[in-house]
Amino acid sequence: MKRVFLSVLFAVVGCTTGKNIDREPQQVGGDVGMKHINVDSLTMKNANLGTSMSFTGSQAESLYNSLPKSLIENDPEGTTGFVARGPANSLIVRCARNTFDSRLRQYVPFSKGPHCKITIEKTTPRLEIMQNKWVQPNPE
Amino acid sequence: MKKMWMVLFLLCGSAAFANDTSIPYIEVDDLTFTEADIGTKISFKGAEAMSLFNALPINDVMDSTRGFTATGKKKSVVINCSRTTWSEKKQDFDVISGGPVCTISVAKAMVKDGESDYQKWVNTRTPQNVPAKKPAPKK
Repeated sequence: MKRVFLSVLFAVVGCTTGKNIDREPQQVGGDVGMKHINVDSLTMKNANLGTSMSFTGSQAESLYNSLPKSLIENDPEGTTGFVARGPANSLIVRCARNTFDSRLRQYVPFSKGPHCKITIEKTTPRLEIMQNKWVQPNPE
Repeated sequence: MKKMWMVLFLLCGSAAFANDTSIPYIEVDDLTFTEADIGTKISFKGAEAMSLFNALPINDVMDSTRGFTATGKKKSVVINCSRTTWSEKKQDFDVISGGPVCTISVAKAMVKDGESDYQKWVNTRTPQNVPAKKPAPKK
């Protein structure tokens, strides 16, 4: 009985893993819809997955304006930012103008100016890598 | 002689940069950290880091370092990218091979003097737009 059960289990697992699933990998984490750059050596000191720094203020507008717009069309949060993708971990720099107000059930602007957040997250697999690459020409 | 003055100027600039005094800055509210504090440093390197370098304000006369500080009440977040590194042996700046080194670090906020407004980073250009996403071809 045990042998039959194991055979069925292996058959099911074999069928599932061998199947060619025609869909994009599931994108988990906060870097969905953002431009990225690939980096060689992402090192951290006194920082790790979960490290985050955030600030808000009218002068954060300068950083907001420097970063590329989100890849999401009509992004309700009005996000700019990018991801520095290392092999295992990624650094995400993200600024948003709007936040979701659960009481009003709509997106409203941050009252003090853009809200910027720098986080470290696990690198997620991607398709369409070239299309999403951040290439910023020198403005000077 | 001119070169010596230039090196001296850059050295002073680098020293001041380390303390975030000679770097363009923005003043921010609600600077918060999770699992990060003074001493936290995240750095990366690569040819593609040039995009971040290009997006940041110029810091020195040779345009080898760009960056800014988000200055809170007690702490600051410093974001900077550098194309060169100081070589003790050559007593000159070496271009970093493989692209700029970018660093995001947390430092103690420095008290700004009367010239602070001059150093304030004001960037009014529109964020780089992203071309409309083309649908992926179906197999």
